[in-house]
Amino acid sequence: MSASNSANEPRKKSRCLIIQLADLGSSLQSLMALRAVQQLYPELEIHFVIRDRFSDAAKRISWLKNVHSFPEEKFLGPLLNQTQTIDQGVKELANWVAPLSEHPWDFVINWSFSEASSYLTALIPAHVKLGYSRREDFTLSCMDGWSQYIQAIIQGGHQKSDVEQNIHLTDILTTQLLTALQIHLGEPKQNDDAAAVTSKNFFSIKGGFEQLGFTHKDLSKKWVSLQLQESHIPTQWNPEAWAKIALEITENHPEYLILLLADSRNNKNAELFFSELTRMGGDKEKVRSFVGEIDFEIWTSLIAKSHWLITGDSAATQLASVLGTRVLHIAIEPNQTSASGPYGNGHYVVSASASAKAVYGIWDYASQEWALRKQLTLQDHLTQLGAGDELQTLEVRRSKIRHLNEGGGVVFEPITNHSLKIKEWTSQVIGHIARSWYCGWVPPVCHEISRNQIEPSLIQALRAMDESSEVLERIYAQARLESETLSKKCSHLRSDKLMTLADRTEIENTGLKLKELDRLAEQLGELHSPLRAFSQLSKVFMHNLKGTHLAELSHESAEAYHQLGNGVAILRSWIKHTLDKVKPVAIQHAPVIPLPTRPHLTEPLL
Amino acid sequence: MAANGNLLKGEVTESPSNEKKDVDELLRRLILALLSECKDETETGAPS
Repeated sequence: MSASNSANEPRKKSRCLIIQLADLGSSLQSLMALRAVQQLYPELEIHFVIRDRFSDAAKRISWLKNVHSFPEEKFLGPLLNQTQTIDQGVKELANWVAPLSEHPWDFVINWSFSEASSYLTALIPAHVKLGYSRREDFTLSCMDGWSQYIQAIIQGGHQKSDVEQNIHLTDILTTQLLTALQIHLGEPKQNDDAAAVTSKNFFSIKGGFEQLGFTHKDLSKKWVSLQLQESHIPTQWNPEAWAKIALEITENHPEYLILLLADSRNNKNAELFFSELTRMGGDKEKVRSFVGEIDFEIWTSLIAKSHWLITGDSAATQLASVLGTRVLHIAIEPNQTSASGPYGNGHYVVSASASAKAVYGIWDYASQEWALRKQLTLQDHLTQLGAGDELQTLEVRRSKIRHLNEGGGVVFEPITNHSLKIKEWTSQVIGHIARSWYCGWVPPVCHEISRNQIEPSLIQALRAMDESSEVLERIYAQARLESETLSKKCSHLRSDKLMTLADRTEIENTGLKLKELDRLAEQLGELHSPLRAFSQLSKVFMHNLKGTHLAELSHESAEAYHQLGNGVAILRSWIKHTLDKVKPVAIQHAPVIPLPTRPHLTEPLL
Repeated sequence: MAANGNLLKGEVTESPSNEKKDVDELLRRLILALLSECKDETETGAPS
């Protein structure tokens, strides 16, 4: 395939298979990314593989050509209860895979980023593959830049690490697929009629609230859905806390109706919720419970009609994002906000340490923000509600889709007094490096950091890292040089196996030097966590070199070291710009007329 | 276009085919990986 089409020339249909075997939240993120792609490439035939138990979501999307439910329970059930052997399971699975393997696909995109999905991807023939797959020797292959970034940074390479980044997964998936389509199919069609990616009508739902027991009065109210998170996640967000929020909303905002949503694993929590609400004097009639009794269609209808969703649950957060319902997300796993927080404009994210009172206050502020914002701050508002002190320790963010001139994508802006920690600073740098490598466009360095966010602890950490980052840049420059030398040397060899003893010794010595340089880079990462990103990326890059001969491999290594060096240079410019922001600035002489000297005032007073 | 365009192409095959791959072995490993993921889910309560 080649990109021979111009933007307005009719294109032949291409077939694209998306593999998504992760959880429901990831599946919804994938569908959101695909919606943007489908609008730009309407002729692309999109097929979707999804776990059977989440397939209701994909089956309600009209623009998907086909949905292939992956019946994992059918395959695994007999194996788990030992009524079937692995070999019998293999046969069953082969029958399921066969129709997918019949004709080569133009694109197979694995967005699951898991081990199992990599084997499935390897089984399905395609001209272009993105995401995890397997080589002929069954080792993991991850051939495109964005997938390598996800493996090295978001999944943390082989060991889970604390290096964070700030690009939303929905934006990564969209950019990854759009770029691949641009390379292989050509520029996207001009589509002036493109609707918003998020929409109340994202899924084809029949609707009908009357049969769910809603009265006309209920339907005339505004709805706030409270979705209890999966019960296995340890959090202080217990039924009592949810009941307090429901009480505050129903007492102070009679125009709202509360919906309580959760799966059947939360039946007990729902009981506790209502007994707590009653104990506090709340009115049960103002809350409709749909705990354990809703299918995807009803769940979607309820969230689509709600004005707000308050939750710590990631799947519900993604569903509300897709539907354009505003979310107040309680960040039970705060380090995942940048990649998997609510997508779109005007969502709020608050750390899970917030009390019910504070969460109510934030919702109250957010739901009236256009009226309140010009008059009082969130701090003032929470102070009026008696939860002002809490804001000192809480992180509250508001989501915003950046303008295309600023690079697009969602960003979570802090709306409280917020000092920048080294982790968050690093996440911005890593995001900037990824954009520079894979988008071909970068925002100005540090443009989302203001001077008053920079505190002494950050300055100290950056100064400490400055020298080490310079060393790391030199290490990668040296490694690049060694790899280039090795590539030149190997290109003159007749064979990778048969060579003179002198050649072999020289190649071995260069290999040892490279190993030593890699070790030094890793040590620097142990000293300064932001630098760990580079050794993680380096491992993933080196594992995924495509060449088969030493000369090709060393040439690719040189390119990878060059790329890493370029990344470190970007990090160094961030250090410089951040430190420059807090440098004292000389105040210029003001252009005023000097006062005439009055000799009597120059005399000492005493 | 990004400076590193090659990295964005993905794995490109001119004539894709499964002939060379050991399909049975891939299927077997897929089953084992699914079983392992299923075990993780049972332990944590959520799909990985």
